[in-house]
Amino acid sequence: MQPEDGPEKSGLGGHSQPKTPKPEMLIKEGTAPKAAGWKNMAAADEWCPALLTTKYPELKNHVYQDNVSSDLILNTGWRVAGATRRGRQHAHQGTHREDAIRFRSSSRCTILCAADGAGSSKWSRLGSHLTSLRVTDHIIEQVEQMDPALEESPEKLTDFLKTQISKAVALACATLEEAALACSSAPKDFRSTLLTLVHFHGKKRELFLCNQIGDGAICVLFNDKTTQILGASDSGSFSGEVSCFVPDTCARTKSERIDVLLNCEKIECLLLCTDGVEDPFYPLQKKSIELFGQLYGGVKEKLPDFTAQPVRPSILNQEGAGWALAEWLGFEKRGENDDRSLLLMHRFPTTVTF
Amino acid sequence: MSLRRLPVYILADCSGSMNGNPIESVKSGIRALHSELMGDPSAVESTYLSVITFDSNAQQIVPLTELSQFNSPDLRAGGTTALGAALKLLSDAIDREVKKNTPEQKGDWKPLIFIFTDGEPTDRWEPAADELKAKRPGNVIAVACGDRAVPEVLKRVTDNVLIMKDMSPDAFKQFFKWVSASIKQTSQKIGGTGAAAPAEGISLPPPPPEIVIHM
Repeated sequence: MQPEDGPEKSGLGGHSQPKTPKPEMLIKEGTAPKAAGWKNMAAADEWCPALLTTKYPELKNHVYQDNVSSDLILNTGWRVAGATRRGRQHAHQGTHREDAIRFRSSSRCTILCAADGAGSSKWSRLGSHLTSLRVTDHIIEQVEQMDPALEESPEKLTDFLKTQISKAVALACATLEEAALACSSAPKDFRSTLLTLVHFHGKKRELFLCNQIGDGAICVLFNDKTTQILGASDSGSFSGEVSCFVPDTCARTKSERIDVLLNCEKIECLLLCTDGVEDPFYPLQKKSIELFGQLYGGVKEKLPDFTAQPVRPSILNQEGAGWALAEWLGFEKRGENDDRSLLLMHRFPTTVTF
Repeated sequence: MSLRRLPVYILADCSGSMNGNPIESVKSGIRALHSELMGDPSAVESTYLSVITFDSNAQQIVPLTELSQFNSPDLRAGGTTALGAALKLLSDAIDREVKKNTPEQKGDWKPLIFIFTDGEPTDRWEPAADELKAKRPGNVIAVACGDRAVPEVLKRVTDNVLIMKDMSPDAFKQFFKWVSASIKQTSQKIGGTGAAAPAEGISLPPPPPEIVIHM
């Protein structure tokens, strides 16, 4: 398509006369149209349908926010910090964040959960929220009620905690199935991934246990600055392919695969992240040091394959680490526009430097 | 740069029977598709387009190309319908151009493939169709256009077969609008989650009224 030969305006109120366009003015057929920019719109739909708020008061009372952060200094020498942030894609479409994070701590244990609702599932934001709620509450309650004598035997204690993780996943599956029934949906409409970390800190023993259903990652940083990926990520041949979620039947089987860490004195930090954080740092086994380096040492310059990442001081040495994490999660990388959630438990004050 | 792309392949029948309005409608449809996708920032970041044409031979006239670099091709109709050669070319192009997950690198998103044809294949198409169906290299949607297309042939390539009897410019316009919506929906899933179970494939928007799903 060529522009029509038209009048060229010259000067203020000058005469118009036909003129052949210069070559650079020709618009060639197939010239790419201008790319659209991102919008940031509030979610238009209600967060939870009325049918479910009647059945679940905890959903009725919940106030949804696009971005959430929290941190808590524990009297065990640890701090929990976490943040979840609505992805650019949801912000552009005006839809809700589908990730959820939650942690709880009691005299004997601390539980961390990060869940990522499946984007193809209509009510996945409720699935991830209810899953993290049920799992943290169940484990905390059971550990508080446990027989203190279990601590005498490391095997019995470990078995007890493993059983509680599996039962908590089963409870979350049952809850999502009930919720689906209550709003005439299918259980798969509530699908969510789940990362769980349990820190048991009893009078005689201390140990960590973790479990993974779906994608995302669990990673540990040792005090010699080595790292290790825990859990078992679930992915297919192509990006975004996950075969097992809560409340699928396979989730119950996957909940029995639990990693146990006994040498807690060597651990500096444990991190749970949804795929919105794992994917930009893939493969995390190799890039975990870059990730921990930024969390401990701050952002000195943006990572080479990122589009934008502001310079920041250390995240984990800040008083408000949760808020600092939420800010840090705002980095930009092309094609990575998913919700981002990161939840970690680290020595406080920190014992390693980057 | 470890960019994860959404590869989209368009296989267009350019045989002699497409001459006139149909081929012009396909050309303007691809231009409109490109323009529409440029209005979606997620598609701009992730979508890569390729066009494969087939008449008496098959040719990949646009290799997998970033949306902002894509130029709509000039298509001409003539010759016979070498669907088998096109399917073989598609399979080879995917093997060459699409990255799968490895421990070192996240793969591309599962390719989206649109095939449309208005006639019976004239080459030995069956082995290529069987190979493609067994290989499942992506989500394949085939459209039988007009009265002479044979949906059963396309069923041998994919279970997702649509029928578009009307070959008017308006029908093609609606078809390409639907293709655009399908790509956007797929790239939105990408942005919104890491979570589409592969066994279930993808859910696309309902096709326009002119297009019937072949069961």
